[in-house]
Amino acid sequence: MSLAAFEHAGMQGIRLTRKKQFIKGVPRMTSTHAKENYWVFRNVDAEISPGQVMAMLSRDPERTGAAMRAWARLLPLDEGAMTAPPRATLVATPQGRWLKELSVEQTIRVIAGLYGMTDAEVDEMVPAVARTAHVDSMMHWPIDNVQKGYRAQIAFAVGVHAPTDLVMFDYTAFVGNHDFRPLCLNHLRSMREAGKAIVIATNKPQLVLEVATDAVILKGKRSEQVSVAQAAEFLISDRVKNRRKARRRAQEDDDDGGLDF
Amino acid sequence: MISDIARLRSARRTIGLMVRQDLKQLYRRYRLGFVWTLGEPFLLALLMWFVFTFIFAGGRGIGLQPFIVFLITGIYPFQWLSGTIRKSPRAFRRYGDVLQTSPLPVVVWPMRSVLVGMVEFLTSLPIIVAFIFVTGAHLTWGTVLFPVAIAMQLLLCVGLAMFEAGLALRWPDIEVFSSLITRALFWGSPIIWSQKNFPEWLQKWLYINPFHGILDGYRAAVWPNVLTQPVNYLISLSVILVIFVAGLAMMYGKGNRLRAME
Repeated sequence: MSLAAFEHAGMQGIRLTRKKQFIKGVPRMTSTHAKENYWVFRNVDAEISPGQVMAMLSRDPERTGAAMRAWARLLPLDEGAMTAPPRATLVATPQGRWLKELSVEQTIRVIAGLYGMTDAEVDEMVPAVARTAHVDSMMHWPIDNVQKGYRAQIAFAVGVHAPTDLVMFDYTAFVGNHDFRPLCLNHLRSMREAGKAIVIATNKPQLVLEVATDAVILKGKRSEQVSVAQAAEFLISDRVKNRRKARRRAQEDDDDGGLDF
Repeated sequence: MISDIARLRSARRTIGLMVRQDLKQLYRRYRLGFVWTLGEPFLLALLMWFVFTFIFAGGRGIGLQPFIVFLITGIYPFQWLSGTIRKSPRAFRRYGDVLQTSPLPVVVWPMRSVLVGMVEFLTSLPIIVAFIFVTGAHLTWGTVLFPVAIAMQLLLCVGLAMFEAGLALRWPDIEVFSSLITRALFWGSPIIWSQKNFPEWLQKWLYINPFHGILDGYRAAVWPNVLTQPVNYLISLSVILVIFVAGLAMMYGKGNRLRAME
């Protein structure tokens, strides 16, 4: 039985477009941008059951973020239908300014609270999260004095210990320092074996190949369900394209001329 | 909305941590740190006291005596109110990225600045009490109204914060207006004047400004005779409730997609 599903789902977003100038060269005195609706994703059919790991991929991270927020009941759909559990955990990248002036222990508490855990659940999970995130020896240190990677490790660990059946990692499933990253894969595998449903948005082909059981590629007009191998291929080809683009851009920059000294 | 209230209760320690974090961040740039939260309104009260006691000597009759206590009991609560009005329009912009990913009730983000102001006000209470005794004034039976006034102000501030934060998403210009509203409230509330300066027929209408009723509640601790007809306080309370309901409508109104609008 599926835990969460999309049926022909679509969601609109709002983007800002620059308004036309009345007189060329004279800046507008009133608002310079107008709001415009666009489809963040459309025609998505996907479902996830307990014990499955779904890789949700897209060239635009906004699409995967929006789809996950829909399953987390944070955003409504504009088209199609959706089923989702009453509670789900969405693990987003914790921004530095959310956590300023906190100790490591307080960081765990605030991140867990922001991801929707109640105070009682937070109290219960703090020691386990600290062990998983490898921060148990620095609980009273200010988080500003700790390497940035630990924040991501804490967020990941909160997701691992979240008391919900559906856990979604929005580019946070393969994080932290070099030693921690391989451990992420182990944690995800044990979560999957424990019967949790996991959704991962990622651009790492290795993560998809080693952990995912299903995959979906989100696009603005039509989304497609693909095999894990095809998903990894999509990410690799995307990387190659990006690399080619970067190389071309670098060459264009070189050809720009200018003065040589 | 009801489920949001339940979630607020179950996440109160997380919210407490965030308020503490905001307080620390607010003053970390200054050498005297948190002392400024008490020092700034205190210095303003001293300045006002000096101006209205020595420079405008003829204006002695505008407040109650001791005038410095009268000023302090008005300025510290006003600091809480003005902080709320100034910061609320930015609440969703400031915490926009968290708002998009966190299932915490949306009301948490404007409420943070209200709670920060409340903590600052509660911290200032020892100073107010010290001034009452130093100047030879006494606490009266009206002190029992002090917690009632705090509760009324909390309700007013939460209502205003929700209203402004919600409105700012649709009409960002409210941010400019907020400083004007603050100034209008400063001169329109009995912070440096008292209602005795107005004719009796007008006094009832002054209570349409809800902060007037709240200030009477605070000042009754020293001057119980500031209290007027109960109907006046009902007027203030009604306005507070209207603002609160308008704030709720702004947050949870039909077709509202606060998270999507960011």
